[in-house]
Amino acid sequence: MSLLGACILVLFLYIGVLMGIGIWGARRTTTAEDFILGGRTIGPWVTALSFIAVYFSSVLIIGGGGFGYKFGMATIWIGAINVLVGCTLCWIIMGRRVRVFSERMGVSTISGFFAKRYDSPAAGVFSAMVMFLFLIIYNVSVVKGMANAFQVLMDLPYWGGVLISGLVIIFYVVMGGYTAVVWTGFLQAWVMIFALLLLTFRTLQAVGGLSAGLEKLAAIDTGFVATPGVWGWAGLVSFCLVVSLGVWGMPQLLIRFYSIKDTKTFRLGTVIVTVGAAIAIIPYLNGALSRVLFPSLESPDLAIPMLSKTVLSPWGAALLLAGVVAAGMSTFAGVLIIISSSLVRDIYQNGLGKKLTSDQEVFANRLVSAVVGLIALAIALKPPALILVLTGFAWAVIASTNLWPLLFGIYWRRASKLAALVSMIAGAATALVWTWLGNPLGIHGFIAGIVVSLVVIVLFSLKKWHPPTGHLEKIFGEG
Amino acid sequence: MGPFNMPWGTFMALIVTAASIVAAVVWAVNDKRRNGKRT
Repeated sequence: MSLLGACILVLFLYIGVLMGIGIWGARRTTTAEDFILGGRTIGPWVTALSFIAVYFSSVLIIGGGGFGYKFGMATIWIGAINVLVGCTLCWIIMGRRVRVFSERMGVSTISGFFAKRYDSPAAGVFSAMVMFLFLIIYNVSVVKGMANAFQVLMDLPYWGGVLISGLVIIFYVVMGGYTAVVWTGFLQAWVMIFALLLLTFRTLQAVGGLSAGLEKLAAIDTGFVATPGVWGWAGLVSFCLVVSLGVWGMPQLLIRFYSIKDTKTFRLGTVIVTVGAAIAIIPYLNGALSRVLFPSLESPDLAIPMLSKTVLSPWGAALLLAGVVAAGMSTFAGVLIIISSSLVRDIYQNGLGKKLTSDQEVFANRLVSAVVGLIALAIALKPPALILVLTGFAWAVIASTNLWPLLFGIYWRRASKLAALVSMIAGAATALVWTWLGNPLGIHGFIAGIVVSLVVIVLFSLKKWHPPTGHLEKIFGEG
Repeated sequence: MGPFNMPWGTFMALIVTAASIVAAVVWAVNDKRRNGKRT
């Protein structure tokens, strides 16, 4: 069978299953809490694997392979730090406390946490607005990644890739809400894992095994196997931090902690997420080894598509395409549900003081998910230059806004209302301006953003602040 | 030079990954033991 035929068959089957999960999720979604959090009944396997699926978008598979091709084996450190900081430590330090606090305060969104913990609707609305704006932009970049994969592997026009992937996601998110998002994420994680393992197995065969492959790579340039190698420490360390510590402030990932069924579930969940996240190393490894087979590619981003066309059978390449699309879809869907709940619950209801019944809120979330999803697709079809520039800002701005107010909010009683709000504004503004200036001194906008935001939250919190009587006792469960 | 013709600096990334898995398992087991004692 040809590559095109295999891709079409695999994708039809895959899309059918996703839409089926959407319809099944719709039957389990009756309240607003179901739509936003799946009724807080999600087990360890589904939570952990959907966390991985949302974390590692198609950017990891294609872009990670590109990094591996360009900078060599040192890039497997990015995967290793993703596992340690982005998954294991994030789950141990943040997971359970975020779950406990969210339930105790009765909040269902990340912005809702800020509003309640700091008794500051302004902090909640500011965080929701940052998420709303920058997550749409982030989703545009995710759709572009999926459409590019369709282009390279199926020779599909760019707009076809945007529409196929985007419309399927919007369908299952609108129908099944959070339940559909986590269960499709669970399935998508398995597709990614199998696809990446198959690619690695075939790549190692093609280069004569890992030892032989690395010897050939070192013969091209020893910098391609050494650490920090051709990249240098500054670039490697700052990139590792951005894509690992940044997770601690990303709402589409943190929301997984809200929805897990109980605090015991974190034990098995932490082990599963750590083992599963080890796949993060694979794209970098494959990208580095692909240089042995294709020493002078036109663009590093072609490394993984070229590898799959060369070392995989048509069925294997079709599975890899499904893996790339799965990675993008799970991220897009996870982000879409955060945007809709931020807009409906945090901005419309809590910010503007409008009340909705549970049925009305479910309907509003469905409507907003559809409209926002379509807006992201429309932008992705022909992205204005400004949007393309801003996609590079999204991760830095969102993480710089949320990270410290969330972490201090669950661990430090003195973290205060004013400190949280000013820290959010300072973090977001610094990340935005720093990135806009082209990352002066070689420091990434995220690093600048979290340093400023940290200094601000600590200094402002040390000033005297009087919370409402019993407020902190209630929040920290001492009342 | 470390295993698989990989310099030790690069091979350490694999060790960090394996250590993360061990750390997650140890944390989970300890957590279960601590919780058992409490109840």
